[in-house]
Amino acid sequence: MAELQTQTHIQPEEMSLTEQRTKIGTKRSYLQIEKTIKFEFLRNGKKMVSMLIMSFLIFALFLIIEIIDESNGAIPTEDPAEYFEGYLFMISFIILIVASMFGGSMIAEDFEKNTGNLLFPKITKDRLLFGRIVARYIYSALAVSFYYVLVAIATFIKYDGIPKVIWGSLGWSLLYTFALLSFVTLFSSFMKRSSSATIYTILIVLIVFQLLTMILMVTGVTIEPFFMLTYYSNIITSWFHMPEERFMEIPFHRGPEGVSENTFYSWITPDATGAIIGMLVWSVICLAIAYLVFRRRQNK
Amino acid sequence: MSKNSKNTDVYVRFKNVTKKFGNFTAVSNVNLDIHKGEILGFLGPNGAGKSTTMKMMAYLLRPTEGEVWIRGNGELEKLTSKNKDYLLDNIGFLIENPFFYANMTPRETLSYFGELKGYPQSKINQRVEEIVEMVGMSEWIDKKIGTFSKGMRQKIGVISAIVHDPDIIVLDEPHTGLDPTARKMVREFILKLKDMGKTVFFSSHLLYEVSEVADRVAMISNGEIIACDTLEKLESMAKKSEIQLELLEIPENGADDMVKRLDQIIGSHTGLENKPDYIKFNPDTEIFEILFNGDPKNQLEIFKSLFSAGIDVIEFSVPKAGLLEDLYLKFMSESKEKVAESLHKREIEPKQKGEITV
Repeated sequence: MAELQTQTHIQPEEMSLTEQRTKIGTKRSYLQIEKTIKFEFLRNGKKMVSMLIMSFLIFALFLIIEIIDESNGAIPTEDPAEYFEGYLFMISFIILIVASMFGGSMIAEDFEKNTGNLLFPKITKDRLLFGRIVARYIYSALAVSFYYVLVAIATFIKYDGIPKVIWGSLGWSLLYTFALLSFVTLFSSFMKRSSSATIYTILIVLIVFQLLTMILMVTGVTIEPFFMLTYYSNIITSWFHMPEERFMEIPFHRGPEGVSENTFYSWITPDATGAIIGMLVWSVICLAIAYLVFRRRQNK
Repeated sequence: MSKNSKNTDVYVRFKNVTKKFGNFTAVSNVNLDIHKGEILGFLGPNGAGKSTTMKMMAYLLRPTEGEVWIRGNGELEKLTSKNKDYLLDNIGFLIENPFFYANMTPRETLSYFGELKGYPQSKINQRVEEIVEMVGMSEWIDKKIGTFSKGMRQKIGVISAIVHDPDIIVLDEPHTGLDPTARKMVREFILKLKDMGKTVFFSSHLLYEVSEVADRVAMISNGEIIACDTLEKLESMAKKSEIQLELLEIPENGADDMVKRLDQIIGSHTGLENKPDYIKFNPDTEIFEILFNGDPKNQLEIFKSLFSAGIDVIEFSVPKAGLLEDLYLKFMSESKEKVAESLHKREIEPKQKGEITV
């Protein structure tokens, strides 16, 4: 007891540095993750501002188109939800750009710029990656949410209210952002350059996945395409009016006067359960592989 | 491993450490002790295994065989995945050229590094300001690192290794790619660390940089430690050293005559048995290079006899770098011969076995 009392009276100045250090173990791990998040916020501050500007510019573009349309005599919709949905035409693209910009440098940058040599003896790769994902996801989510806020303000001004359904759509957007950020992180783990990871991800999402979607439509495959990451983005806008039948057969006539008739098959959107499970599975797989590659990868 | 030193002085110990990448052996059976408060220079050509050895110490690579021991809180402990965080708190690393995030300032970067190692948050700002001042960069503390020169980045790199105030500092090639001014700064900084009671382990392939600051030198070639001791002991092992002699003026008869004259004066004092061409004249520097056995007594005898003979000596020195270069080349060639010999044996043995089978 006497010894305990003596210990409690020691002033921090009298303690050795080893004693003053944050103890290793869970406490140190949390501290390292927390510091990494703060550092990443600082480091990506400018990128965050550019993403906010991009969100604003896209919103402004839609707003200008709407104003021009209305000045040309177009009658605006009476449904605020439909009005809101009109602004989400490019939401998948916004999410893709945001996720690619924040995720591309997640891992590749440390090898490209050799900054890993300074970091890895000080922090383990799992804590570093965790901290970075949290920080960059928060920034990505803020950039996407900012767009929703802008549209929500415009809707509120026009209709004097905001439909509740937009919060559901925002939720899907944020989940899709996480899945896409994980996908970019995977590329960042084995690419030599951050820019390559960013560009390849954009190309794969915009070209390869779209090409696969078209192949599936033409070949008549009826399996729900859970294996396609871009399929999950459909729920963001479909959430405003979820269809009863999610699978569609589209008859298509070719040639003069519809001589030849074809049928395209298409899945419109995943259901809520499928979307949650699918996007989480995609995220977990991408991040797990990214972490394993990151762990094995050494600085020269 | 030095047998003379006490075990309690050992801060880092490599015990039979081997690292293989597939069939390639990068580091082979390394045994090395680093003692409290010393500067150990790790000398070897590119690709000799210096960085691999240091990375094993940082737990970035795990030894294929053998163990690395590090002194933590008073105890020398084997480095494992369980205690690495705790043991590595006591070490500051600078592995190869430091690259930083260009859009961050030294204050932000160094604070982050210090806090990662658990340095008290209430004191980190003060600590960062202190160490930045140590390298004379206080006015740059809040400037973006992207605007810094290579030398300035190196300064930040070196202090990033000590921001959490470790006892052991490991610097991998800290002089690489630096101009002479920046190299001098690194040299002075290493000596300053020693004055602060730190233990420094640094690698280099630059002989001069090692000879100027190291208390002991470990030479590595093809992944093997081929020599490790103080410069003086390595000198006695090589049984030769070099005196550089500069005269007031070169005699009119030329340097060759002067070499003959010097041979008559100091020939019996060099302590060398075989001494062909032991005196050379370097026409570029106009300096006479005299080999002797490295014994200070012989060095004194040579000096006395030159003085008695009335030779106008304006400089008489035994440069460490010159000696180290000789030693380095000697040990390297011995090591290469050994490797060639063992390869030759390996080539012959299967042939002989093959002959028996046939």
